[in-house]
Amino acid sequence: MKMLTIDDSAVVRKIIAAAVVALGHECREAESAQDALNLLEGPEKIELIFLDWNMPGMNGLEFLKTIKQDDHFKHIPVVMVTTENMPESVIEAVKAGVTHYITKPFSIEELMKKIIESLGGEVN
Amino acid sequence: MNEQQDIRQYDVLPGEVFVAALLETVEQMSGFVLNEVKNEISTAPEAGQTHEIIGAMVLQGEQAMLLTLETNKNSAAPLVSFMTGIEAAALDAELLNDGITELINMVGGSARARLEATNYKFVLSVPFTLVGDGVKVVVKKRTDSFVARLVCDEIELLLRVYKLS
Repeated sequence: MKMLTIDDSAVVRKIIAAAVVALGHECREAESAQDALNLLEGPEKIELIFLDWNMPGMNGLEFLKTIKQDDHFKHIPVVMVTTENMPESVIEAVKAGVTHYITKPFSIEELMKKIIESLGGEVN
Repeated sequence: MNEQQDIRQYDVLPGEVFVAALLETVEQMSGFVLNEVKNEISTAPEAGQTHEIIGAMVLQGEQAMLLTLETNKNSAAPLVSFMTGIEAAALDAELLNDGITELINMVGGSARARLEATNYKFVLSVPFTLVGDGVKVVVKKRTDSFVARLVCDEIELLLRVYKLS
């Protein structure tokens, strides 16, 4: 299964990619929302997206709203991974269609749990 | 009820809030448990101690602050290595700098939630990094500031908070 992490921090992308690979999946990386849109429009089938909120250019929330209005991509579950930890931010993201919300800092265990849950699995 | 009655008033910079945020951030992201070292060395910028990487973020609010995290490549390497799973020797300068920038971003985010109901409530800005041998932040004399030195094995970090307004 192919997943996509979108974050302007290379370190965060590496952390998420490592968790994805450890669970037996592949991970693509995009350092901006625009790069991510370009990748989604390509031939690869992305089945889970990890999304930062605060990025230069199009921010994560705008990206989320964009893909949720697109019939080709709106089915893809999105996990927001962000420092935006205020309740109103979480509510705004949920209203926009986010599947799970992880606030930075996070543990690798929490991240893996959300990946499994996003794919419909159960976590013991 | 007067909402102001629920706002906690700090008379001095709430430095320990940022220390707690840093301890939590580093432990969660890398597994390292930092210890605060008190009164061991002079940590004043004018004391001559310099670093190679400074992650920084302006915290905008009624009480504007500058939050910085000073360290060296030798400290950043194991931290970023344990965060990413990439061997320390394979980490380039860009990843080390990005790792410190992301740490200051997370510390700012965590501290913001902790200070939301205080007179030090703030909003985040874009984090940035100052790099170079001997890089340091110089502020006007008598600027209120807080400093904490945190260590774990070979890792040493200096957390500073400057009051800007």
